Amino acid sequence: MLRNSKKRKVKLRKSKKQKVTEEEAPINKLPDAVLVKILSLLPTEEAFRTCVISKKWQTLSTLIYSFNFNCSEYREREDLSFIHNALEHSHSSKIEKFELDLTECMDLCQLDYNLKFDFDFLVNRCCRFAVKRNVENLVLGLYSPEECPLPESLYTCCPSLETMELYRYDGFCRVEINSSTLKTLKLIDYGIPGVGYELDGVSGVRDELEIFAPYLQNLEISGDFLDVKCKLVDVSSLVNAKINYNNKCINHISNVNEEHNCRDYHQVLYSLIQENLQKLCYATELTIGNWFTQVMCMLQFKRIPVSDFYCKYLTLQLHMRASPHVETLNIDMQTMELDDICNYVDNSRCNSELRDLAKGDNMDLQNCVSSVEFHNLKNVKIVISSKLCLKYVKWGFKKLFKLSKFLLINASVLEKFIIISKRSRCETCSGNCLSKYLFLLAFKLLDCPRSSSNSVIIFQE
Amino acid sequence: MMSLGKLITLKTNDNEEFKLDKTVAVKLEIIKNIVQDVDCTSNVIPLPNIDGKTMTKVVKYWKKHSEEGVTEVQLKNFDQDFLKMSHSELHDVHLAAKYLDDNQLKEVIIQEFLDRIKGKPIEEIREVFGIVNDYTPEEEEEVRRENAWAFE
Repeated sequence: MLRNSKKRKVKLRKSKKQKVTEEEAPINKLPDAVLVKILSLLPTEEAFRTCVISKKWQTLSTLIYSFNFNCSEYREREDLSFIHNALEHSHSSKIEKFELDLTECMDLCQLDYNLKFDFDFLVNRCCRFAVKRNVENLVLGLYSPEECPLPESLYTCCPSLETMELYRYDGFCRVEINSSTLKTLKLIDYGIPGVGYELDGVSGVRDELEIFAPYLQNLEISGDFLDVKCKLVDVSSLVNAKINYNNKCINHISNVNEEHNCRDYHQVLYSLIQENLQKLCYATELTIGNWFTQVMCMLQFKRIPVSDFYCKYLTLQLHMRASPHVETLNIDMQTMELDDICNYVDNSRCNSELRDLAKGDNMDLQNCVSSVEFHNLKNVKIVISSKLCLKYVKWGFKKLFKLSKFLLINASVLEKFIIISKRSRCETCSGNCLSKYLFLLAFKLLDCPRSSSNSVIIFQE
Repeated sequence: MMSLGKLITLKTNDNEEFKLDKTVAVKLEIIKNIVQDVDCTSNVIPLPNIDGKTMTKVVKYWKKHSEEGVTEVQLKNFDQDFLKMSHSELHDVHLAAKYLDDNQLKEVIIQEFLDRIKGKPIEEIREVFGIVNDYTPEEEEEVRRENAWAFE
């Protein structure tokens, strides 16, 4: 008690003194290195404008080591010249992150050949600049790339490169990464609609994409891949994989005039998925997208062996595939997932494929996983952000109850079962139908038999 | 190397003492290192570069961030409140964090500086960092002309 009051007195006196000295002393300046760091985190345009602050800052702005450039559709010429100037004025010897986003100008490039030429030149210059300055993280969002292949030096002889993210680039046939530094690769939207229409899907050069990256730890392949057959050749070090890409039926790809018999085409894709799944099964964290999961269910239905996953965290965006090794299961329901696929109106799927998928969907979920128990499953999280109104549409969610019930019965060490409603108001009935429904679901689940004695069911809004 | 008692005392340059619970201190790699480096028999660690006012803030931050069962939302709200300080106080905390080698706190402060200057006119940036404009009007005019490409 005594010591306390004494301490408070000291504190009081000190803070008074502090105030006086603070006013007299010049503000402590941040070290240059910190200022450059702050500048590097700013939008690059803003960062370069700080050169007029003072003489010191004129120098600082040339030392920025992270760049984020983009080209907007309405001022593409100005943006182009800004990027060239910025590269000219940069003196930093290393680059932490180089980001160039030209995706907005994709349409412009297809109309204006001169602009495309300028963009090709820019991309090339940026890549050379980045490699020369030992870039660590590279993010490129491109436009009309097939005539502008990225310099191979990027991933063959840039020893500093750790992360490469490519959006709308499809200039590869084979990605071969032998650098042990490059740990993360993201390929998003590989096929570009409207580009390469002269390729007829049979002799097309973009037809195939092979990924050979034995040291890669993180891989994301997502978005639209049109008819590009993506094949994982060697990804044996993968820890974290997100596979969420989509192939389209050749008959749905623009400018294919005659209707092909697409049966064989789909079969090839299915067996490719099967092979790819095999390569992915040792990843610790695995996220698998809609289309992939659908095909996977179908393969199971056809009694085609699908390899077990050894991952600890599995996120599925649609149907589930039971695995005895999974500890955490996230089910993300954004739209009508878990609905009957036959009713699932998806224009991108051709009839042949829908037939295959429908067969897969008709199988009984419980039969499909009955032989497997979830020995390690501890957490289940179901997130629902569906826009459907549950006052009128109920059928899609019947399976959810069935699935939840099934999980409760079979997961013997389950700790948490969380149901999260991401939507508060329904636009159709202007009520809170989703929360009401899910609350009811949680309530019903409380009565269900459970094999784990200390599991909790949590409902969150 | 001194042994860790139940409490560790940090003493600032204006002789203010801060008693940190061992459980709080041990979670902080920085304190552990200082404890190992300082060769003294008492449990008092001198901090010659930090004053009491600044240390009060730092300790407050540490305590909150090592609280049992604190949620991310709570931490976010705490950080928001914590960062409501003057530019110069922010500088002081940054210096302290740097001296204590607390990377997390350093990052938080840098992010706050960043937020304070993002999208702001040059004048305001000068104020945040306490910078005196050392250009003559003619010089500034010239710099603006030379770098006109950045202002288009």
